[in-house]
Amino acid sequence: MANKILEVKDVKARVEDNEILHGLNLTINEGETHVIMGPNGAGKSTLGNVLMGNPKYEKISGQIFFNGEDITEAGTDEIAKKGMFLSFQNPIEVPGITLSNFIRNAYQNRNGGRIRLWDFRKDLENSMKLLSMDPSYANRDLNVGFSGGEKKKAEILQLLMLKPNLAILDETDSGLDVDAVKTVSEGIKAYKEKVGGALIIITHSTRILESLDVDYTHILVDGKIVKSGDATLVDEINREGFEKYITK
Amino acid sequence: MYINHLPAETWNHLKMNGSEIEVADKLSNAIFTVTRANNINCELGQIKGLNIDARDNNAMRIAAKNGVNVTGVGPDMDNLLSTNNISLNQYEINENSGDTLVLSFKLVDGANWASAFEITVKKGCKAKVIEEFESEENANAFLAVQTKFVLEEGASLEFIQLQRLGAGVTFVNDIGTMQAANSVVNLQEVILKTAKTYLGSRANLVGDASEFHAEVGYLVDNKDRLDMNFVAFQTGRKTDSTLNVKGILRDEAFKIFRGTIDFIKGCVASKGQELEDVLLLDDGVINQTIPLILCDEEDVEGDHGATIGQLDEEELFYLKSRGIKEEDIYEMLAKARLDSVVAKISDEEIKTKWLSFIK
Amino acid sequence: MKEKTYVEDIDRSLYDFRNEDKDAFRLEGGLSEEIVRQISKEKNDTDWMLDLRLKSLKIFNETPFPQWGPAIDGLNMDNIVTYVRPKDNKMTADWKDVPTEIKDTFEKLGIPQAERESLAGVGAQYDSELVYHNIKKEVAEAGVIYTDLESAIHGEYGDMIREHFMKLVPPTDHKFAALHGAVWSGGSFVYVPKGVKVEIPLQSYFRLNAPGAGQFEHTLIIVDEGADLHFIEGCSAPKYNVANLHAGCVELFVGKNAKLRYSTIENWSKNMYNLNTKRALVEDGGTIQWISGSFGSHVSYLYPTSVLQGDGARSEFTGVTFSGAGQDLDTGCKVIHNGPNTTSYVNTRSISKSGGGNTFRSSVNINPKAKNSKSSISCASLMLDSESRSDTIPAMDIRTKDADVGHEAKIGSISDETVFYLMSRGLSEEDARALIVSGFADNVSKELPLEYAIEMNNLIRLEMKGTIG
Repeated sequence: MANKILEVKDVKARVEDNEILHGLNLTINEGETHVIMGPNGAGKSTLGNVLMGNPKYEKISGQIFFNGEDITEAGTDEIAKKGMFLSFQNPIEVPGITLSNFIRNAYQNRNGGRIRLWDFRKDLENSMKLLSMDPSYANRDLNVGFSGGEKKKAEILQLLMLKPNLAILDETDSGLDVDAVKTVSEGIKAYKEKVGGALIIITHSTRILESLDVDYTHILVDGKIVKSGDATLVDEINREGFEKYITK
Repeated sequence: MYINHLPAETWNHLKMNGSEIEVADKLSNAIFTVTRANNINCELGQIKGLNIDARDNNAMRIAAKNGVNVTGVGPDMDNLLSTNNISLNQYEINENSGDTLVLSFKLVDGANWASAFEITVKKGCKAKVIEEFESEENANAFLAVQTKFVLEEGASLEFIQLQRLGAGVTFVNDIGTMQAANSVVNLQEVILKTAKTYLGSRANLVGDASEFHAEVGYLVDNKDRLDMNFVAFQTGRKTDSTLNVKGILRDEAFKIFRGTIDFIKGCVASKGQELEDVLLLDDGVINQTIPLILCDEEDVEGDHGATIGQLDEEELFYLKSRGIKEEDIYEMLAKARLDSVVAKISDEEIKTKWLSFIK
Repeated sequence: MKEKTYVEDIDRSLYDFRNEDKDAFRLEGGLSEEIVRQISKEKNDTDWMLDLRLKSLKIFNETPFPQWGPAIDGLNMDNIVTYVRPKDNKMTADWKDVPTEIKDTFEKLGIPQAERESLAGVGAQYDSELVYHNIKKEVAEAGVIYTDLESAIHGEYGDMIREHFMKLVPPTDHKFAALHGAVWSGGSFVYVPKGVKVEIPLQSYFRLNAPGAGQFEHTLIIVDEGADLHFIEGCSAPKYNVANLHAGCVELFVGKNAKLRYSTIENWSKNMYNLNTKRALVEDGGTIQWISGSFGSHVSYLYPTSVLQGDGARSEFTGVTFSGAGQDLDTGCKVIHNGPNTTSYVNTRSISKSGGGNTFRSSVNINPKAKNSKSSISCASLMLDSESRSDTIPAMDIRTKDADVGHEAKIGSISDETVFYLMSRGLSEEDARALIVSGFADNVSKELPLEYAIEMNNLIRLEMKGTIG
């Protein structure tokens, strides 16, 4: 039997006074790829933030297990160190620290030990090449002045470098042109091949899914998963939309 | 008297902390006309002096926090009006009254006048108050006007001041707003002929989510003098202030702009913004600018920007490439700056009248 | 939801060790003509210097304390010891000859090591006297003078010093300039001859060890036509329960087409009143660059001033001020544009936390003859909590139409989103905040030589420790 990497049990969560997740359940095994789709405002981004322990999102009830460990109350950095990664929909600009220094810093934080500068540079160079990122970005301040596409690539670069065993990609394809989606997909594929981690892909569209093998698809409506199925569910949504899952 | 004091002092040698002015021994009630005041009654009252040292910034803060409607010119103004027994004109704009009030002044030679207004805008009501200040061409005169507003919860006010005063006039223009929750003030200030003007405006944003926005356009020329002191005192939560000042200096004009955003501890999630843009047209001008951001609250956003000098080269090049002479470009842009402030005036009659004054 | 806790005690042990000063020679506290004469005698002053001291004392007594800045009530001049000479002091150019205890102090601060590795010359002042001065042979051979000011007055540069000493900062400037004129002691004299470019920095380190004492060193630097110099100044002191005073004076003369970079990392202990005056006069085509990191002291009044006298003179000021518990730091700069085609850039950051107070204060004057001048000022403040205070008070006075002045100021706090973003990559909250603050202060750190940039970031890390947001 496969090992559960993530188990979300009846989680309710709110932002300020608005309850957004109304009892969400989700189980993910090692190495699986899950897609979460749903209309705007269903709580897709909230799910990513709740899993990653964003203090702005308050958990009202329920439990979250990661690698069998209860992380419901854990801090964001602890969760990250345990191997979860969230790719932000709108990556934050942090002036004064370069992309490469930041990744190195985060890598060492995660893995405790120091990484040899030479190995690190090599790895970074290769990963940037894979993502068709100009090498000069390594020495630019983290996300500062990056275009939307470069910001998303920088997120995938961190994914490749930090090698988490569960990655949540929050609308990583939104606002990207066709070529950029292709490059980003390549990056995600490389992550699957090299690291073999599990994926949660939160998305509106299917473009990013084309080159990936999807194991499960979930439809999230009004803070709950209303339907789960295999990859074919994606096609169904594409044809018919969410209409029939929205209760009036 | 000592006026327009900066809410935090700096080096004395810069002479920017405040201004000392001379006032005639005896002031009388100014003559002014009131129009379009449908159903708005005026009650006369008495002005109380303020027992606050004009340089004591802390005392000003405490007073404002306790609901005293302190003003931009400062406590010496209240005391001036009080010692001269100037009447307090009290207006109330409510659900049953009209919403517009136009107050017009025309100074005559030899006048030593003062006026005081306290205008209350009741809960949830909208008001538009317009003040016009003009003078006879060659009048030598003094005018001190204090306009205080009390905005109740959810009240909103459009306040428009326009002035064109002859060179022999000294004008002290004092504004204070005391604002309850969710109240909004939009101030438009148009100064076409400055004479000697001392303008002090203070918004006391005491209520949560109260807002003050000011748009100022001025032209100072000849040997005129414009001395300004704008203060946004922000103590309520989620308060918002903006101050957008555009001006032109020419000949031997002097101008000082003091602008302060004062974030008081507890004004969580408040914002403040100041922008100043000054075009200098001649070498004899003196331009002083001192924009302050004072802050003892973490959760705020404040910013200030200033551009002072001549046009940027690209702008100039662009206009020249369309065949306009450099001198004309400056004239045109000077006019455009004033136009842009006047054009925003929502009152058609007033707008048309004042646009015609911009050469 | 957002609870914040503060740990007030920060480990400053790196700077906070102190030595007994029982054997040192100290004058009585306070200020009188007798004390001034005594200092003068100790120093073997020339006549003109004694006159200047006495004149300054008179001005000091007649000048009121400044009213506009942070409170200096805790400073009682009657208790400040104006002159402390270290035991067995004799200025030396050989590290071996420095008394052991003092040597240990500077060893702990890493001074001699830095000299070996990356400096062209080093001066070290302990309390009121220079204890060590040395300069690399090749730099000396190029004609560069780097020595203590007092012996230089009696030497071949005596006239040059007399011509410049307290001419840029006259004792009439303000009360503490007058105090400095009366009791100054120690400091450095640097002369870089025409066309000489000193490739690696010179450094002076000031250490105030004696409790209740004042340090009044005078730094006079003359960079002649076409020459180039980077001078670094470091300051520290152990913490005592009595007020200490630093009223130094720095006068910089930047010749035609010359360039001087003056870097300071100031980490005085938090009982220090740092009332320091720094000024540069820049001739045609010359450049002054100020790099200034202020971390220490209880109260600071510090506004390095650039007088852009010559055609095309230029000044750049890059500063960061970090103010924590018990600190009220009033810092900034002044620029006076006198010559045509002059340029000034000001870029500052200030950080306030744990009840610290920060004021950015500046003035830019563009005078009628400074045609075609440019000035660009940018200041940003970061508030780390609501116990602290941050004020921005920039003044501009423009008196010609041919000027181009841009100014921007911003104040804000660290956004929760940024902290969350960094934490989602595995950084602890403390590290995330420290990283953001270091990034915010990088305008200064990236202008410093690497080892100083590291020291500065360590200071930030130290200050950020125990701030749990």
